[in-house]
Amino acid sequence: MTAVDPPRLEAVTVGEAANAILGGSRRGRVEGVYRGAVNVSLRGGLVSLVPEPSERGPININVALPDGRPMSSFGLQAGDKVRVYGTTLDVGGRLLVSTRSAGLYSPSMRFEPVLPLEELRRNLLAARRTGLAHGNLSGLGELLRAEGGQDTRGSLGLFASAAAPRIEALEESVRRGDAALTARAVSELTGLGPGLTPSSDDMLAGMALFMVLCSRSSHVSRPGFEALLRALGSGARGRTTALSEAYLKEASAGRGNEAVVSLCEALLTGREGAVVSRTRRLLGVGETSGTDTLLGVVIGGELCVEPAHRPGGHRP
Amino acid sequence: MKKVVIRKGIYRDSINLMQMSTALSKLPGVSQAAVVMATELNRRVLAEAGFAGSDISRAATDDMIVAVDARDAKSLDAALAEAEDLILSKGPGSAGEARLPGSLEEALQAVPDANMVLISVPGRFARREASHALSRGLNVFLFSSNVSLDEELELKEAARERGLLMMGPDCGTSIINHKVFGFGNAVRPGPIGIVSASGTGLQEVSTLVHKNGLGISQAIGTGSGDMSELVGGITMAEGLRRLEGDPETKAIVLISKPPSPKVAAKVLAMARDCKKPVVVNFLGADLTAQALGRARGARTLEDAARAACSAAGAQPPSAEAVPRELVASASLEWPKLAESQRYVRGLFAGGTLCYEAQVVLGPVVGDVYSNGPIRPELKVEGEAPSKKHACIDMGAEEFVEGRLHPMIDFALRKTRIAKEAADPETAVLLLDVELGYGSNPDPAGELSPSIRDAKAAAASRGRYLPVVASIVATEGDLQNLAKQEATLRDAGTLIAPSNASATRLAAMIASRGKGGAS
Repeated sequence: MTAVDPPRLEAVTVGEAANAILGGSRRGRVEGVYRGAVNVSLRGGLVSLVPEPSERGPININVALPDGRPMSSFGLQAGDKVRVYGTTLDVGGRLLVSTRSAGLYSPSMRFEPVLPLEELRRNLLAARRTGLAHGNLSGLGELLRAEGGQDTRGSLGLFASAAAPRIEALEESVRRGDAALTARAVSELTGLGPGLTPSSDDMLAGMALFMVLCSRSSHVSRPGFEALLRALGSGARGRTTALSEAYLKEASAGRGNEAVVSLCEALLTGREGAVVSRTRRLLGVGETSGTDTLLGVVIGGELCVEPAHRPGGHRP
Repeated sequence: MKKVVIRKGIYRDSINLMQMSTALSKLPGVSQAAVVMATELNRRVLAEAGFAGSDISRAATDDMIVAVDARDAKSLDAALAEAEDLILSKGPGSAGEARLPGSLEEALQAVPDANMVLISVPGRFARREASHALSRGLNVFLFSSNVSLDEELELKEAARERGLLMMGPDCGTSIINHKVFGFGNAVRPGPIGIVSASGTGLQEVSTLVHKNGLGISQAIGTGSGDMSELVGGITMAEGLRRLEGDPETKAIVLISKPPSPKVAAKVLAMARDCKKPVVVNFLGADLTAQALGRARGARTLEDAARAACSAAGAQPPSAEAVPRELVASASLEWPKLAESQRYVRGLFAGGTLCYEAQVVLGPVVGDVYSNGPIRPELKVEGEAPSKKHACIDMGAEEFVEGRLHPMIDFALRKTRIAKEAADPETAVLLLDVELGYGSNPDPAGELSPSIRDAKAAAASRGRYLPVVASIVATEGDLQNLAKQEATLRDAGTLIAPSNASATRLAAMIASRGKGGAS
């Protein structure tokens, strides 16, 4: 009787955070098994095995599936043991993933030159309107309608109506630079809404990511903004799904999936046409995740361009 | 009545969760349904909304909550039973999951003697997959778009070297050995072969051939980039060569928007030398008798279908620019127009139908603005408000990126119909409706409420809004052509037998009977 070797997959790209987590971990467990992903919890954090083609992301390990099976077809179950041997990940004894020849996904966190304020505002408006026209509004996307302080609460669904006042409270706390209020506002949003990464988490991730990238590209720093990042880095623990927690942590460090990072770049440095096309790309991510993330990017962006919080480094 | 059910150890991605929520919300008697992760905050929000149940507080973050609000116990039980079915049937790896091949290799294991593959993957992976298929000796139908012309050329040269047919990239329709690939219609087998760089052009001609009593031998889609100078019409030429050698094909139709002049010359040279009758419809291109030689030029898709039927020995019914009974109906419409209503507004799902409408409208009404214009100076952004006479291709990249094609998803077209109705300059709305494989299961049902609303909105402002449509379909299509026509007519739509005819009818209405019938 001969033992059958488990299938061995080659990773095509490894996200920066996933790479660090693999480097510092030896053991872990399977967190969840989905058609399009196997999430693995290791000592340093959560990594997500996803098939090519998928968006590259900080915690993603994109693997080539030569026999084309869905990720859920390897017989893996939540709780299966995971071991890391050098550049090989042994998942439940049923799947080996080699990262030996994988490329590193590590996008720039600084974009230059940043546009003048007026152009930045115009870009944000274009992104918002594109989201409204083409997004899936069944998460928090309806809140994109609240352009210029317009009150949309009367017509919102269950989760969007719960999120709307909480988002307002968060914006206000960031404006004031009040760390305690910001931490409370973040905890009142984390884990709220539909989706495996709940809609409010996607919104928070988009907001944080834009603010980090804007600050790194234009040297802005504000107490409220830093409090937001601290709250996201630590305050989400146990309040949302493991996958969402991982994404929030990465966003607070300025790391995000390719689609959202490239949108942030276009918003900060690009023309309206690029903003629209990259917004459309982001809207295609997940079911409502892209739209909810866009909402966060727009909210974060509008906080950055408000006169009282004008980011430095703009051309006059 | 509100109830929540907690399910542990069930793993679903966001798409599954949202699909389940949507499916449950649409059940009879259900006013609200949500399938969400049991995070602390979701539990609290549901509890505050009255969904508190005995076990909601016991749920853990990674559990799944099914929450249903229904008008009575019967509806509630039915919805929860449906939720259970959805959970059991959609689970990854569960017995109920349809096991679709996830790759070429897996598909070949299932069908080892296949000689053709349909590939639909995001554009950046399309070249790799198609190249792999060609290396395995397979003919390829590549539905994917966003593939560069360089990559397209590489694939088509590789196919040519191996004697294979490379349909696409960006190939929406083919009919191979009487089987439809992509979007297409239930046309009967027959003597007409088609090679087309246009998906809806192929559909329009094949259904008009069917309506003229004949059928299709093979219809080969080339993809929209094939007739570019770089790609050089490789698949168009290969398709023509194959149809020339196909014993079932008696006459051949070539369809494209205006190709590169160099490529047009190459293809026309082949058409001139072809042993079988060839009809050439390069929409908007000015083809001289010398360039055509023995081949016959057709100005519209309708002309192309008719000419092909004649060439195959049939006698299609005599041509009427606009059927008489429609002229009579239209003559009752234009007297109701307000003075401000001067322009035709065409909203198309089919890009080539949009282009054909411009070809037909231009000589009658003058300049026609479009996001896919005949002349560059008539270019407008698709999402911008319409300007004068306008034909908008709602299937253009700017509309479909991240969305389903407008032949499936009518949301954007419905919004646009409302905008055009609100414009006091809109004289007539011109629409195309595609039935058949791949299309929405009930296009008329989608459009009719919007048409009614548009007419009502115009009426509330003291205007009358005529709506004209053509339906690309046969009586064999799944959506039931007769029912679709009846639904649109009930909503006040005039239905023409072809896109060209509908366009002439629209022109006639907008010009108060002065144009369109010739």
